[in-house]
Amino acid sequence: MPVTSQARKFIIPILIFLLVLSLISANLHSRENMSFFESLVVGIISPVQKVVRGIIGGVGGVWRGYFHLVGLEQENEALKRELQELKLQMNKYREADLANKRLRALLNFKTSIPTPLLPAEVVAFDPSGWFQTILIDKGKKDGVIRDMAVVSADGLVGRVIGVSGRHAKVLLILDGNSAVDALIQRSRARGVLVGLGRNRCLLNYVQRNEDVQVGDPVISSGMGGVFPKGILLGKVQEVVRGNSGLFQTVEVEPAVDFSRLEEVMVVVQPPPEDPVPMGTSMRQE
Amino acid sequence: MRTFFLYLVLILGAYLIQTVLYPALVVPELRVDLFLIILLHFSFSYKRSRALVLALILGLLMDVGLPMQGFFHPLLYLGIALLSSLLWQNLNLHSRRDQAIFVGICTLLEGIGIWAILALQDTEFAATNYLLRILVGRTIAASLVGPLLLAGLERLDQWIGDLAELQESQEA
Repeated sequence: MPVTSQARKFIIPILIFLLVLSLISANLHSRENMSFFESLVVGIISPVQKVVRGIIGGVGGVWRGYFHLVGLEQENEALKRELQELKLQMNKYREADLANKRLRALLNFKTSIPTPLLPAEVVAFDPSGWFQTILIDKGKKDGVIRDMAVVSADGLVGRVIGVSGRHAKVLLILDGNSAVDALIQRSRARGVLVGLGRNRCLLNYVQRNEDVQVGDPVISSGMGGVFPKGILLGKVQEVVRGNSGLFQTVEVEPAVDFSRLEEVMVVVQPPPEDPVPMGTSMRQE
Repeated sequence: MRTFFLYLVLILGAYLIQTVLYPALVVPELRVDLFLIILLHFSFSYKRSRALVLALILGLLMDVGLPMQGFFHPLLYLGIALLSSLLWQNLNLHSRRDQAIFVGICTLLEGIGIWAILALQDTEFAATNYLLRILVGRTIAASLVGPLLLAGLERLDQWIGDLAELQESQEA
């Protein structure tokens, strides 16, 4: 039976759909390297993105600088007071550090080798705005590989999920696909920190009887081997203990201000063999 | 050729806005998907086959930031390009009001697609009110801004057509 032109109109789009659908199902696992197309796009556009980000950063800096000048005197006084308090605190910590060193020596602890950090610049964010990923200007040629942790001066940023020659894609801890094994620093209660897609995270699987209070710092536990132990993730924002259930709901405010993320550091240590089972899930650890 | 370069510049500009400007300046609830607007304009104004090719390119570009490997955005954009080119011919979407509704529906479809993926991955984000807020916010923002952007693109197309005519007449 001859195919009419009307039928052909529908057959071609349906075939394209089927092709893309099969590509989706074939690609629903995570890959170590970015695809050729991704690498090409990133390679071409990232220099322009870097320039635009620089301009926006510069304009933002001038703007913020102007507003800072307005309350500078009061801020200066407040900072002087804070400095005095910090000096006192520093002295206490110095004492504690010395005591710690003595005790470590007594217990014959090995001094851990400081992990090398590779500084990188944030080039771009996810274009759709639904996912929380960033692109950084360090890649395979700089020694970055998949599953390396990414930190900033304030705390944990995320982990590398794809690399090309000169760039890497980082999944932020805010993303719904992210999960980090975490500890409440004070009480050592354990949980899994998952992203909520905005500037909030949820600490899941914290048992009801565990001691968790608002303001408690949350740190990485080091379990799973992707993230080094003891990196600050955020602080507890809200605790809800329902009438039933095994766990309590703990909302966490991330330590890093992701809206002003400009420079990050990649923790250059080889991750474990396969921290994430290959499959449809992208969850960390 | 001139149209090709114009759209190349437009796509690059939209990509820069979405990856650099939006995260710095615009709240997530008010982000209008510029790729979607370009695609809709292209589907309304050009042949369906061209619109499908553009949908594929734009979708692949969008997928660069996606945490998972896949062809989610190409599929979504292909569907939207197909739908809009069919509707443009059959329903005659010329009025700005109809365009506003259509842009809103397409934005909603995109959001529902993303929600479905997140829900399939069993993420906490999929169950939050925040996602719903983004979905509603973006639909409204796209309905309001979309027709204006479409009008701007129409003007641009018209201007290129006029320029080509002028050149031809000068050569003649």
